[in-house]
Amino acid sequence: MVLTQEQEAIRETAQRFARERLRPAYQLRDAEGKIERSLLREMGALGLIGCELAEEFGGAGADAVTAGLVSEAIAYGDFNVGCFQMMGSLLGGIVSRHAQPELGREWTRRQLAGDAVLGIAITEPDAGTDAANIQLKAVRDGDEYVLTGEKASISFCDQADALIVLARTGTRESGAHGVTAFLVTADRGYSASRYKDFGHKIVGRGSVFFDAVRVPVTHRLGDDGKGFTHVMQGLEHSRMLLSLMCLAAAQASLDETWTYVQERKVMGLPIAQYQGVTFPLVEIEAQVAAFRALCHQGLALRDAGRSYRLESARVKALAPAIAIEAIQQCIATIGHYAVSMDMAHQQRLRDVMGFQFGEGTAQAMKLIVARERAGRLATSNTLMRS
Amino acid sequence: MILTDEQKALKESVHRFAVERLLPDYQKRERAGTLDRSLVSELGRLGFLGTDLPEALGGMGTDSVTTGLVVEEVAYGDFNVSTIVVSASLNGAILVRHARPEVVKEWVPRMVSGDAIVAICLTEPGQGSDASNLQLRARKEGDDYVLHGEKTSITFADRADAYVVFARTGRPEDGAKGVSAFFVPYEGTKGISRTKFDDVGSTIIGRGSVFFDDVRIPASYLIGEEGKGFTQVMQGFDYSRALIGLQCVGATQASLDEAWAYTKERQAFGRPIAQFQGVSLPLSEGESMMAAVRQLCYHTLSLRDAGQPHTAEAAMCKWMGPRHGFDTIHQCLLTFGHYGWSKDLAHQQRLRDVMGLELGDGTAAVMKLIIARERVGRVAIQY
Repeated sequence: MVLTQEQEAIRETAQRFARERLRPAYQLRDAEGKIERSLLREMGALGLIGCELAEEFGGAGADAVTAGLVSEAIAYGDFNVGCFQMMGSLLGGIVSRHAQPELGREWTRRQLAGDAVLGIAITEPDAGTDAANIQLKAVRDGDEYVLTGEKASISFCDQADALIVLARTGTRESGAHGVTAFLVTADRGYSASRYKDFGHKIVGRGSVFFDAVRVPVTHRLGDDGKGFTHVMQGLEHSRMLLSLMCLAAAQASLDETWTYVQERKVMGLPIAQYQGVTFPLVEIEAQVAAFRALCHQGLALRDAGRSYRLESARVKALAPAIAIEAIQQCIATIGHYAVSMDMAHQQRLRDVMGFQFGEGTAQAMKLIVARERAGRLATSNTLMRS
Repeated sequence: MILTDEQKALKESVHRFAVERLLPDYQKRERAGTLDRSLVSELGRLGFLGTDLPEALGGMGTDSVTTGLVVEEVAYGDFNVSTIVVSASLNGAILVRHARPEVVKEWVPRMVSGDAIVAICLTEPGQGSDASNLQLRARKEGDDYVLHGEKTSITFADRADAYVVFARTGRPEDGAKGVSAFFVPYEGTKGISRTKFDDVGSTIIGRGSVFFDDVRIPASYLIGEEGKGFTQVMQGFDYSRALIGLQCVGATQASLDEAWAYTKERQAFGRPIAQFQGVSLPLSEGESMMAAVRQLCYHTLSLRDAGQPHTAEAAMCKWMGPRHGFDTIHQCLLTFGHYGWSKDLAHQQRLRDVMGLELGDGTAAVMKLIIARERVGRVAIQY
């Protein structure tokens, strides 16, 4: 993909912000486990959150490829800030498409400005990959729905200003067709408890409990029974963005390692002269480059109004694992120094690992590829029936 | 890369040709070990050779991405036939950029029509990866050059109509700077003899040695400037490296498509084996990897079309295509169980053919060296 001048320009803005404002405190933020909202506002003011949304929603009407370039640039500086940034594309996209116009504009504008943090609550203790089996109930009561149940493994659980919640409005047997999406603002009275995770600490993953939480009908996203489809379409987009984030984190480690091999000497020579050192880096960097190209292709297909389900599943199936392997190789290259908590590699490893599962496991992604290739009849599981 | 309507139409028509005309006899051609020249002419007539070359010379003046699509689709039907497509564009581009006009006018239209096949003679018995140390001599005699020496591991060795020959015009200690390139027609040139090796794959294109025994050619057959041939012509290899990646992508896709179809038909324990994740997920992995390599190749070619640097990317394509192609075809072969072991199925043939490009046109190790050099600079590389 040869970039346009507009794409180059916004990428440079994002890269500068990442270099100056994100990278220096990447590990400090992780150690403290929190993010300053002012940093999000700064990012929003630069137009770096959800830039592909239309202007009425606070975006810049850019293409999806541009959004991908920005996610890459941000994650290069701080992978976890990238998680906040990427949600502008994923959740801003869902809200802008399916919320009632005024509500949608209000929330996407706040989110894209960096004023509001949104989360999404799909997974439950007993429904992860087979998300169509979710049980949290939403019962209609006049102009409101009453939500009761438990969500698990929810990012931003205790700091989100609103959550998109998938809830069952139909019968248990109705599967994906009985699921509806709601925008539930934090003031509605759900409670959250954060997990003690080894990565994504500023994101904060945890459980969210709904004890008869009342949500106005106007906060329903799209039609009754369509929530699953709305959200899954959004995920097809975000899987490419988060794959790019993983690859960007790997690239950051690779770039630092290429610098190191020129400086570090062993037996009188820079270790860059030893092919045992450089070839493993070259091999994994080529895979990073190939998957970056495939991500860009998926986003370009989206911009062209074509299906990108296959590309999205392909990259999410392998890119996080490739990124992990790349970072491990960087650690192995730098040697025992890299085991130090002072270096960022261990941090990136912990952060990227979360996306081997988050937003769809690698196995689920490979199943989607198999379904696209071998057909629906040839597969036999809940995910496939959805 | 979102393809244009023209690119899509061409890709589809090449795919149809590959499935109808090439795929059925892929293995038969290989067993015969001969190159059916009427098939090469047919490729030319259909406009599949040298699409990127100027219209005035018989090409279509397309971008190099388009040529990549043709290579990929021809390789879907017959990996070895696609080598002819790569060769036409690579050699065509070298001649158009660096050869004298009379050579270009005579030979490029013949290459594009499928009438002539040109081989590149670089490797020698004592020089492979360190090609700049080559020893074949070219000495100036009046208005002629006289070539003497041996080239080996040359694709199309015993069946080419002309050769692009790298020869030493300077001193041995000048390295690459003492190397020039020459165009040497086979017919009507005295002193060329050639042999064919007994290879494990790609037998229809033939690999072998070419001997130059005081071969006399006019000075106008010098390609580029004297002493600059090596660097000038080698730049063209960035192009063929991306095309080679796509050859492997195309061949591997054929094995994948056949394997996916088989998983739907073949039953085990009362259900199609596609339902067993131990069967389907490894195929999904191969499919994803090859999709990524394909896009990297397109990306590299589009950088070339935009006039941007792409040396590192091209080297990535060149080793990733054969490496991951081999692994993925292997997985496809295994999917068929013991049937896959039979010579009746094409997978074993594709494995043997693709393997050749792990070595030919620059080994994987050299590609990695190039990438490392692009990353840390020449200073840090010991060669």
